[in-house]
Amino acid sequence: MPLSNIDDLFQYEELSACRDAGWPDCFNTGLFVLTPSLETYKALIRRACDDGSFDGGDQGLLNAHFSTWSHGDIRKHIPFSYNVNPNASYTYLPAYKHFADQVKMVHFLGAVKPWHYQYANGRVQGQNLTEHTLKFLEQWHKVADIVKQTYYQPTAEMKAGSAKKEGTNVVPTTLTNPEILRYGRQMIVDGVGLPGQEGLKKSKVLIVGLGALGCPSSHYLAAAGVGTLGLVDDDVVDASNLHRQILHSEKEIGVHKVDSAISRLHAVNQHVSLIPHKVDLNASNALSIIQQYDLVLDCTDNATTRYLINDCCVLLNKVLVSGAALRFEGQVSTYNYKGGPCYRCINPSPPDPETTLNCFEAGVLGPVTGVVGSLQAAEAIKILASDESAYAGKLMLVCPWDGIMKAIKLRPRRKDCVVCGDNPTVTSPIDYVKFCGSGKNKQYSNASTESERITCRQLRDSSYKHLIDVRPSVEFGICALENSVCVPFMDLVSDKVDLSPHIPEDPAEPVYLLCRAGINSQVAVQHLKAKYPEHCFKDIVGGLMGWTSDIDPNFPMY
Amino acid sequence: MPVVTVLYFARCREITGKVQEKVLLPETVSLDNILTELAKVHPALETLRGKLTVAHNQAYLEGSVQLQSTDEIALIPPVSGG
Ligand SMILES: [Zn+2]
Repeated sequence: MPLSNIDDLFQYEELSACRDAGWPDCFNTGLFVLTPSLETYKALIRRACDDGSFDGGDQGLLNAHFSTWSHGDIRKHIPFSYNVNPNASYTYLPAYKHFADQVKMVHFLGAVKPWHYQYANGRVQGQNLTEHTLKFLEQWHKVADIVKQTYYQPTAEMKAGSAKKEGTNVVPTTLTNPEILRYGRQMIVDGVGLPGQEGLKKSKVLIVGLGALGCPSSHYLAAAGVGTLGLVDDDVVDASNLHRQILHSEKEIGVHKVDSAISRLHAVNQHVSLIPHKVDLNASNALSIIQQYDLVLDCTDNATTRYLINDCCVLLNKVLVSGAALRFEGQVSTYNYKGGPCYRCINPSPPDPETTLNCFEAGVLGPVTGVVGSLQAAEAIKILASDESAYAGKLMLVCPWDGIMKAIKLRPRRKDCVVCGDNPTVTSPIDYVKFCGSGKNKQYSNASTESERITCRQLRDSSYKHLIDVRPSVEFGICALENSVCVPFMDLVSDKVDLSPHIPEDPAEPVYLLCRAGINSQVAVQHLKAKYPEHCFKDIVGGLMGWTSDIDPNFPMY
Repeated sequence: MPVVTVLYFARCREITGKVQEKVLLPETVSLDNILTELAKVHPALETLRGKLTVAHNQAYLEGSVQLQSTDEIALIPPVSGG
């Protein structure tokens, strides 16, 4: 690493070099002056073949060839400051201190090279390093950073220069050689190639939701070399996310998902530009965010945001790659692609909020979301690299649990679609909470009156005899209160089970209904009241989550 | 009357408690009457009318079709989670 101009070396004659710190009668071949000549080249080859090298490397060979160096012309002895080995500084520390300012060239000798050291925030991490060594290592990294940036992101001039290079049969490209090396394994796939990789590099993809679907899809897209990724989320990482949201790790619990994702994606591919959008996507900000991108991945977890994203993509003419997953099944489709249907063409009316479950309520298997997110990434890469779609006009159904994977042909665009049809009535974002009858976080109305309810404290202090837990049996199997019986909500409201064993003979004895969060238990109370009007049913406010927070912090939450 | 395979996805699975089953169905079905037929066995399917995709042999069902015993019907409500 040169620290100052070394043009004065041109005044030296062959063979000039510095003393080797380990054996000063030899010269060190980290730096030497030699006149290029075919004659010397042939003589060196001959010597290498005949005698080899006494140290097995270049230094032994050159010292044997220019063997008069140590006792010959002293003018061929270049000052040590042109070839300073910082690792050896401990051998004569005062000299290193005294001459430090005069060092012209640093030679990082030995097996441990500067790039082997950890470097962050201008500091090198390493043990037993002298102050000088540290200084030189840090300087090396600073220069390397500049070189890397220049090399990986060539300026327009450099690109023009490389394209005009004469005598080389290279197609002009926006990709650098390191990029071609890095993405080679996907570039040699039919359908990608050089144009495909260039297409990825210039593309801007928006990922809405950095949860179970956004994590794998953004990871693959960053790794694949998509030029710009926009990342939308307004949530922080929670321990219950970690089984499926694979960008986030334990140390990021409580960290904003956008920050967590950016640090992981930057580690995967530092050349991708990552744009944070730490917002809840809504009708007032969606258009201005989505319009900055070429393609949108819907990785959200609720119908309300899905309709919002769809409408904005139609209005802005953006392709929408939509993924969804619940329990052990997932769905993938591409909407608004080259005249194909939009999300509303397939789902003109929103699902009933009462029956739409999210991952908190219904659960989801991590690998299922991994499959769905990966399919979304594969589809985005295909569209951006080859301008063809695998899932436009199709709905991919994946159910790894039951071994089902099916593509269903979807209906074409609806001429009467309210947003993409011939006479659209939705020409700007609408009130999606009103449209879906439910927001991102469901608002539950209390079905029960106060007299029909009991708090967790009151339940604890009562000597209850009849406690029905309406959670699914798999949840009941994870944890349950003492002396409770499991009658799953779906069985209870559909009258699939005989309830009579759970109904006391004495109608005055209260029957308590319990669920996870205190919602289904209210519906169950209403259902039972209609069936057994003489009896007394009460729901437990806050459910088992309330039990954990108010009564027993050791009772598991999931 | 043909006995066809009916596949249930998402919410339909919760309602029926089944991944798939064989159902005796009329020879001609349409988007309207297929749900009526299946709701005879699983009444709660009626709540999904107009809110799901019905596929016949892996393609969306439109108008009416003639069913054969080798046919496959799939009820596919949208999934929103992620
Ligand atoms: Zn449409």
